[in-house]
Amino acid sequence: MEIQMKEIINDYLDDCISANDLKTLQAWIEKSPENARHFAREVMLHDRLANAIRNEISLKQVSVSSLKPENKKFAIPRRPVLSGMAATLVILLTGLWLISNNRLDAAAGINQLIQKSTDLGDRSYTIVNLDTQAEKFDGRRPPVDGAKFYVRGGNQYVLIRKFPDGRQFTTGFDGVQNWAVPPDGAVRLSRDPNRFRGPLPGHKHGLPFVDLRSDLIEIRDAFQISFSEDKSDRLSRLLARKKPGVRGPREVLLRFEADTGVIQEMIFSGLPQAQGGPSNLAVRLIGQETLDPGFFEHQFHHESTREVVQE
Amino acid sequence: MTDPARQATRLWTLALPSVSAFVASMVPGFADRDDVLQETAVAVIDSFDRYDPNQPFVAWALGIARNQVRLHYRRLNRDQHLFEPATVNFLVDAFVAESAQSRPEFDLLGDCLARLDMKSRELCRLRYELDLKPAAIGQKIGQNANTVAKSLQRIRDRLRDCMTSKAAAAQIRP
Repeated sequence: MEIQMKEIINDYLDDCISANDLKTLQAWIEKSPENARHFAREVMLHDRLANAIRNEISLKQVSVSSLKPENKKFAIPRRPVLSGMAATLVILLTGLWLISNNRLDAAAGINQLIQKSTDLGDRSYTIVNLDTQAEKFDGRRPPVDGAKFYVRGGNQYVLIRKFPDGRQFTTGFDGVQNWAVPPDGAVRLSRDPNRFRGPLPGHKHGLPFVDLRSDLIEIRDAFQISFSEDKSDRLSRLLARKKPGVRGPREVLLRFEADTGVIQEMIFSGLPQAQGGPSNLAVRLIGQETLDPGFFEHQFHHESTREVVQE
Repeated sequence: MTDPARQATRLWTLALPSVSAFVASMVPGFADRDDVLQETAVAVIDSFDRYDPNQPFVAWALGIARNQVRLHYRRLNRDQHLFEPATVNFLVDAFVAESAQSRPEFDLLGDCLARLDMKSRELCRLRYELDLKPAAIGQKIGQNANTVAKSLQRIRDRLRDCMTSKAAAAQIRP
């Protein structure tokens, strides 16, 4: 292959190709299937290289920023010797060992955090749109910005959104069925596990954070994870960066209390835009008061005279 | 997990390197690549019931990826750096053909990457982790864009040579 063509391909890979060179590259690719395959191989190296570098950086973030001097024996090697799932698991276990700040072994550490996630009491959150632009309002669906989000135990939730005129649209799950209380019309109930869950942050992308336990497992398996502690507020930080090819926001940052497992703030960055809603949003803890026993049932949120339809 | 879901996951996992590279060839910027790849994964799983198992899965998945690339550019309202449809046809065929070819040398990329000198590793970090173009990298390290571009090209050449020679050595080992 001519040197000039090689340079043009490299310019393309580095996103600095001129319009003329792009035409030359296109003509060369169309000239023969072998040329097209050569270009494909160059891109495959470029693509694999990007993944390798980003995986390596993720590993380094843990070993450099999080390890305390006394914990050096748990340091991950500067060069990754494991890959994929195994490396992710090692990172997660190491991070959990660090945040637990005791001598429990790593396996016990992850079990402890998962156990904590199921033992948590009621939590109340507010949702904040972090995009510079407000959500587009289509008149039918209330915006998620400013919504209140309540969670109990492993999977019960209530999400209260408001239309600009103040009318409320409430959805939830009582542990048995999903329900929706629109401002007008019938209240609807469904045993379909995904019904009415569209507005939940992260739901469309596999991370609704209602069932924290399963979401932590999902993060462990599908995200590259690094842990650190924020000395300014004594919270631990879990930064999860999505692996290529899996569903989910580009990054999820969890700021949580290591000893209780209570998440103070979840920040979702790079939510795919094909399905609408903000690209970046935060879910912030506003309280941990015990809510009414019936709060997660639909009857709590509407008049007893409302029509109720079981789907 | 149901059987179709398991089958879809297995096929997607095998096709992922080719689909990822195809998307990278269509969309500059790794964050955008990740987004398009993610939308492709969702679309593949959502429409798996329409997949004809008598056809190559990679070709079908690349068709979906191609559509997601088109939607991505439509959302951005721009078409710069987008290949002409005829070129994309050639590339789809090329990635399908390459996917059928075993490329064990890629498994050696990590080893070869570890052998790079510090300066090369830093250039890789700026280019691939921070997603900077040669001009922006040049501003950071006090070199002109052309020099940076040449250095990146040489790094990729060295990595390719390293992977090829290691793979060849592994094959002749008793």
